[in-house]
Amino acid sequence: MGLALQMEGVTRRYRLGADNYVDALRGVDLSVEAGDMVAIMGPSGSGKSTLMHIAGGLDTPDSGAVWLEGTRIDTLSDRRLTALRSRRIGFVFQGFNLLPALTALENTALAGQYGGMSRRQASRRATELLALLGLGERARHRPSELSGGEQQRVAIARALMNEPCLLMADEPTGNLDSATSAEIMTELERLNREHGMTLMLVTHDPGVAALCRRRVEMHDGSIVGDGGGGRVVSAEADA
Amino acid sequence: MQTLRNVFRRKTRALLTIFGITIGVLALVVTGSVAEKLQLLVDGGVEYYSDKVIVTDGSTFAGFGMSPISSEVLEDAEKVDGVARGSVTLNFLLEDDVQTISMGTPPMVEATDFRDVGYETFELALAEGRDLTAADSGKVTVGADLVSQLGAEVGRRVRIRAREFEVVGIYERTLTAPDSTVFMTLPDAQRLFLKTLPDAVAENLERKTLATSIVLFADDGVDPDELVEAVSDELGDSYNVQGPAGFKEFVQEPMQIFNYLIYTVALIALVVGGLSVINTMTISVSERTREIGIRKAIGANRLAILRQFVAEAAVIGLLGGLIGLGLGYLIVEATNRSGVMGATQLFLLTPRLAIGSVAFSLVLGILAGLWPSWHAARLDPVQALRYE
Ligand SMILES: Nc1ncnc2c1ncn2[C@@H]1O[C@H](COP(=O)(O)OP(=O)(O)OP(=O)(O)O)[C@@H](O)[C@H]1O
Ligand SMILES: [Mg+2]
Repeated sequence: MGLALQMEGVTRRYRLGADNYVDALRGVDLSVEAGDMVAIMGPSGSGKSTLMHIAGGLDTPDSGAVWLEGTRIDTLSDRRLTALRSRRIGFVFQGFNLLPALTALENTALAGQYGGMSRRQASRRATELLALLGLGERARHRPSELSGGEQQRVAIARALMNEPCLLMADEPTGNLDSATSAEIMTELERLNREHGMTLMLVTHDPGVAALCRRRVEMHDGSIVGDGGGGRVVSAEADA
Repeated sequence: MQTLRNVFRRKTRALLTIFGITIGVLALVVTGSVAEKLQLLVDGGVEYYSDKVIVTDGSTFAGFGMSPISSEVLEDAEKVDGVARGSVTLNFLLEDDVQTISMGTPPMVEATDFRDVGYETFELALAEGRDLTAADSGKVTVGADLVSQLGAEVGRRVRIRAREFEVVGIYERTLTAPDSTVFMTLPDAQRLFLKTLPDAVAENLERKTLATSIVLFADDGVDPDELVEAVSDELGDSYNVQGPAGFKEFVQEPMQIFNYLIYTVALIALVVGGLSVINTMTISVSERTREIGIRKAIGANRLAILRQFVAEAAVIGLLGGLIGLGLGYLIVEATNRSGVMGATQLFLLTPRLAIGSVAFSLVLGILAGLWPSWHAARLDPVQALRYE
């Protein structure tokens, strides 16, 4: 299998004032195989979110290079980067980040419309995805009328609208209780296993990390550990 | 639909902003309607005077003469090379004191000697009855605006300056000066006019030659403006001779100044409305920073965000414009019908004014929305997502 993602010497400095800054990433090299499931771990402020944003083309590095499925993305124009991102990458955030004024269906369909689908196409696919994630009955509800787990599933449905090759989840279970968290992880794992979707997820939860095949450990803007997950990978999934 | 929903997410604020535009458009529609009506009046006058030279008493101003002159000058004027025909006319106020302050022309009595028949190209269409002829002594025809004031009806009698006249015709509305004019034969008018003058003046006048102006028509191919000098030389200094160009200059310049004034006031009102759109959209963008971040994170590019917010501003402008036009229409219609401004219609809401003012408010909304929308489109998604 090829590489879904490749980063070389990526740095990112946030300027806070004239001579006050934070180095969120200090030369990160990272390659992710297509179809892999990677947990990014590390203490708060170690640069996990920054890494995800740059990997997913939401942010650009100060130096270094980023390739997505072999395409260099850090030098693309805003328009082309947005087009690529909306079609190849799905984001799931810790705070769900649903639009409160829109229904679950509209929230989901919106990503499809931005990705170039017609309104009807987007609506049809969103309905299918919500049903697939067990939210068929909840499609017309607004986020405020949904539980945390349901909201996160809407966010996953939305991330899947354009059939991305890479799904990035920044603490997808951070706001959920352990039972709901397990549900969401089952969903993500299934996507990885059944659809071969590459998965990168940031987590503080060792239990969640244990479900991943690979664990990347960050500290102070650098990768300090990289290894296999703590779980015995089943033979059938490997085949 | 989603645009509308977004606009009305903050109902009070949206309504206030729309209201701001509404007031501007209302001002534009109402003042514009006055300007349109006046413009029509002026255009009508310019057209009427475009083929004639008017001779009035030297003490009068620019052909609007109501001081008496003798119709004997007609013969002298007709001698001038290039003058095809002259006709005597007599104009005076229908009533001594103009009761209402009218923006148009005051109610008038007008009479001619019918020598202009075949030369005068300006024609009044009849709504009812027939036109006046030279033999119609004791009879009148009435302009549309005076029908209710005089209680005119074909076949009925009306009182004009304490004398009774039979109405034989009523004209269609032209929205120009003839609307507020009563037409009668020259001898009838001469008799009435003489009575309006102070005795000392009247004693020295010959009733049969009484006139207020002479209308001269040019020979085919002769520019009436070129006759002005020759006629002036022939008649001497005691007469005022006025051609089409002179009339145009006389009315169009003040009209233009009036237009500038009226539209400037309305535009200021609209610009204030536009500023409130900028304000509202700027607040809206900063309140919705997180929403913009989310939209960008799920694939919206700059153009999509720009379009969304510009569309919202456009909706505010359009709604404000439509409501302003609606209210303006009601005010204009109600005022015209109530007749508070005299019999003459004060307002004329033309299609071009209606379409123009709504289009203007729409464009204003879009322009006012551009800057905040551009700001929204340029937000960095990562920063916007961190925003609480
Ligand atoms: N937009 C920003 N402006 C300034 N500093 C920032 C910005 N975003 C991140 N930082 C700083 O960069 C560093 C890395 O931030 P990042 O969000 O990547 O950490 P993280 O590992 O995701 O932390 P957490 O686990 O708390 O989410 C932190 O010190 C943070 O304060
Ligand atoms: Mg983070």
